[in-house]
Amino acid sequence: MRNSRKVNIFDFDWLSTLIYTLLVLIGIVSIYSATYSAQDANVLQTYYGKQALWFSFSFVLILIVGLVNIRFIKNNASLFYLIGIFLLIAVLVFGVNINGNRSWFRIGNFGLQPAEFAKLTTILGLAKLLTEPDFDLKKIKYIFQAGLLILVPVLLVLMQPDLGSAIIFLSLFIVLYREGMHAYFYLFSLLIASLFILTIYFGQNKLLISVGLIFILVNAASYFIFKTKIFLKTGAILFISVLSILATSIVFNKVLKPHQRNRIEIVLNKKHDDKGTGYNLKQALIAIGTGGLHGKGILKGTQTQGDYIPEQHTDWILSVIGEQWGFIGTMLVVLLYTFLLLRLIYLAERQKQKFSRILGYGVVSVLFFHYALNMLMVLGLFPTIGIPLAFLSYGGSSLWAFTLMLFIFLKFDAHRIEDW
Amino acid sequence: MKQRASLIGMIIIFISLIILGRLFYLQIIDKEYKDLAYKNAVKKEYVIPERGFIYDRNGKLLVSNLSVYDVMVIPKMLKTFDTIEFLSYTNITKETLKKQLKKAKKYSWKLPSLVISKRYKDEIALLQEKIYKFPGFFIQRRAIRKYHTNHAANVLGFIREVNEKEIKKDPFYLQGDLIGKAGVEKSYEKELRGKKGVKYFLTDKFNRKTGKYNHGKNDTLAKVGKDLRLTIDIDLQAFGDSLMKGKRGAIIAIEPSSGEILALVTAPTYTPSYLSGRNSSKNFNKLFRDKINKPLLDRGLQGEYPPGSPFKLLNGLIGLQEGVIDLRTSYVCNHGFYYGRNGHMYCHCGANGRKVKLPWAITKSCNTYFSNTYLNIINKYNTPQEGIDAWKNHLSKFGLGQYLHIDLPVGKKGLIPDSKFYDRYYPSHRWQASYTTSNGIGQGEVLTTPIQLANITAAIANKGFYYTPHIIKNIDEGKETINPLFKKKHSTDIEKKYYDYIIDGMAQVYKTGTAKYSRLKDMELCGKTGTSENKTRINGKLVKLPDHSIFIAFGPKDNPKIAVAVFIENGGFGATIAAPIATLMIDKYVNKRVSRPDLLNKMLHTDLRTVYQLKNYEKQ
Repeated sequence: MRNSRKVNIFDFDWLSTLIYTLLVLIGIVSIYSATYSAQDANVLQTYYGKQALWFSFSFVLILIVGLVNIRFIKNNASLFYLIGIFLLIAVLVFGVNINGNRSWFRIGNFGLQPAEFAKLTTILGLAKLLTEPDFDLKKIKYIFQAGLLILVPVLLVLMQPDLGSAIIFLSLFIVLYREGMHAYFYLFSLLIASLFILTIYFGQNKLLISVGLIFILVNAASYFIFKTKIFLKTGAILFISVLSILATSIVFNKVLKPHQRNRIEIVLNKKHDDKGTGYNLKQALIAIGTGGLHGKGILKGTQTQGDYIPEQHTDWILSVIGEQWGFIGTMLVVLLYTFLLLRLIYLAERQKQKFSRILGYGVVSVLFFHYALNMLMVLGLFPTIGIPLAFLSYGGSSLWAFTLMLFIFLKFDAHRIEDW
Repeated sequence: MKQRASLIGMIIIFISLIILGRLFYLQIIDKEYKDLAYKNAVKKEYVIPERGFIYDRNGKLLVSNLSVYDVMVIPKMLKTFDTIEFLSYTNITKETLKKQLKKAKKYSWKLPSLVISKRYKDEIALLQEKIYKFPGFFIQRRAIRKYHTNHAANVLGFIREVNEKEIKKDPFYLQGDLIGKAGVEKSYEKELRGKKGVKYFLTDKFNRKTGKYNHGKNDTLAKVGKDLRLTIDIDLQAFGDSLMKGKRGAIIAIEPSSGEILALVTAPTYTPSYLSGRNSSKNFNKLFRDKINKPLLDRGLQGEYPPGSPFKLLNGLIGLQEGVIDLRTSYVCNHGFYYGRNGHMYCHCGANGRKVKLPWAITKSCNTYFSNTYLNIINKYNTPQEGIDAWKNHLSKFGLGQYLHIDLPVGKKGLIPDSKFYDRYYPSHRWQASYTTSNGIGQGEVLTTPIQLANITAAIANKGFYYTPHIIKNIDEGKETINPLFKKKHSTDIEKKYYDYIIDGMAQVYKTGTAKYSRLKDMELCGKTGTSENKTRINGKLVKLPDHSIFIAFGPKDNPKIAVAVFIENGGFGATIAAPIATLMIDKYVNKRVSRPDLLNKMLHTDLRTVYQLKNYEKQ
């Protein structure tokens, strides 16, 4: 049935839009607090001035999204994906080298980070692939196609190298889970990840012995109690476990760089290095800890104003919020994020079209990883990697990319009733 | 697929709960990070208050403060700079700069070190303007003492940087703080130093100040040190200094009615500013190493000498009180006193075999009379031990043989021997009074300091009591109470009437006695000369040195305003140097004049340095 209801171009989900606006504003105030200096003459030369400017440009983007026909987006999804891949390759060639990373294009005074936009284009490409006729996530062939589609940008950003963005791209496997990929894949991933951590923590030999013992115990128990033989199934698990344990030390010692090893060991409490690699984390924890219940107020943080935390206006913005607004402030941000994510899941689930649902889950996955990994990193529960806190951290590329991502989905949501 | 959506939602909620839990722990429960943040970012800075001023009894400013400037360097922050330009703003040489920078780098890379010390404002003004051109260098203000007098260095003392021991003893002090090391600077350190202020600053990761902590609410203000008003009359002190030129010794002047020290002259001495300013350390070492003149020794407080004849007054008083003599008691003096076997003490009172009675014995300082009196005091008791202890008991009431508890950091007890002293000296305990006869005339074992002599003079002038001599008149214009000891009357155990006899004798000293050439026409003075023998060992042989010249006096007789004790090392007969000086001091203080310019002239031209040189030569 064709619905003739006219859709207003600003008919975006109001709750999501409100949360989005709140988060960006909290971000601008925090950036202001973190970088304010009495010597600032030109507001547009300051971080907070620029971020406010990016935010006002975001409205232009939202306006454009509102005007664009969703069919145009859907029909050209593959093209967008290819443009994204093309930009990721181009940046490796034409990008400027900043601290050993080729992540940025420089156009005059303006820096552009293609990886941020590639997240959006990859979501679009994934939605396109998964809505192809005959596509079935139960079939190995299609799983490989979907996996490849995600892993290509992962490999490209790893070449920059940008480990943080690579992990963000992997979040899109959440979309595959929602769309019906086998749960075993995720259980095995979880198993491998756990074994990786446990091996680093306890050491390879201890873990190999433990895994072997568990194998024997489980088999013996199942044989004597349930009278069933599960030798083959558990044997497969054992095999994968042993492989991943053995791979751990190779990955950890050969693939990872020394500072990455350090960061993992610091999170696992195996190493204390408050002056070197762990300096940022230590200072961030001090800033957050000193905030107390209601914080010290804007521009009154001793840690923030003392500029103890490098990059406190970007990846470490939570430390500023924690010091200035205390637990009340950080709780507010966490709740806003949680509500936004749950709201987006709710919106995604109400889509009639698979394409827009996948789009929704893509946005949820990327935002969730940004939010969770950034916060866990600042709180010392995840190794330090360069992941900004979406909407809050300073940065034009990331703000625009997230704005586009969110509002393209909200645009699809606004048109959900239309039969297209 | 709806379950999968719920599972994803639940995972999100689960992760959010972990984040919230961690935040709750860090921000609400754990206190460790709050302390760390405070340590990180809040730095304390002390504000050193201005040290209190010091005035004399008439309100004349003696000591105030002066700002000087040090050029400091932090080697880490140094950049290449125009050495020639730098040197042109200062008056140091290239070599000195090089040396200082090398020293600074050796000391610490990050901490400030001194490059140029204690420049006055006009000397540093140019560099101050251009200091921005020389990163790593900065100028630091600090206060030193400014002296408005060239006198009373021994009273005022000096300040220096605290040492490790002092920092450990009193947490008030930090490295680089100043502390009084001598004189009233030391004894009234707590009053003068004031209260330090504390400022709390926020600092950034480079330790640069970024602002006040908590809007300065935790800051405390520095409290300026309290001003002292001394009992010293600086004009009298200066006059005393001029009289002591070329001599070694001390002049002590006390106001008998209050115990206030009017002048505390010691010689040789130095100007107070000598130990302040740029070369203070070098100068201090110079004074400290001068073992011949000992300019840092306060002879008025620390010199222990045999008191000589003025001591006879006390023996007279004790004799009267003990009832062993009265005004009718007489002894025959025939050019001396014979005691024991071959014991003979020469007497030059000039009695020539006539009977000597009390006032005359004082006037002429008769050794025979007072030796007899002394022996009679001791022998009044069954054993010489009992006798000498009773005698000592009287003397201790005058503050002898003990610390007077003057409010200056140095002092000596002197010595009044007691039975234990002689029992130790004569292990058989079979000693007799006559063994100690010399005590009767202030020789022998008795030792006193000049301030003790001045104090007994005050006690005699007061006819039986004294106040502990002190240097403080008031603190902070009287807002703070001074030591109550200084208001306490110390009574001697001699009846008042006996003092009249002694004072009559002392007045006669000026009229017809040993000091008649030092008298004043229009003011009746009381005095007593002293000539104390002293010997030293040179190459193992006991050699007699020129006598010490001693004189004590007070005046006017009926209403004593000032009591003076003068002690001149190796000055010879008491009447020749000590007596004129005492007279001049009294005249100067009471009448604000010099009515005996002849005496003044004589004293200004009396130079004993040749005598001292001889003495030192002999010693070598």
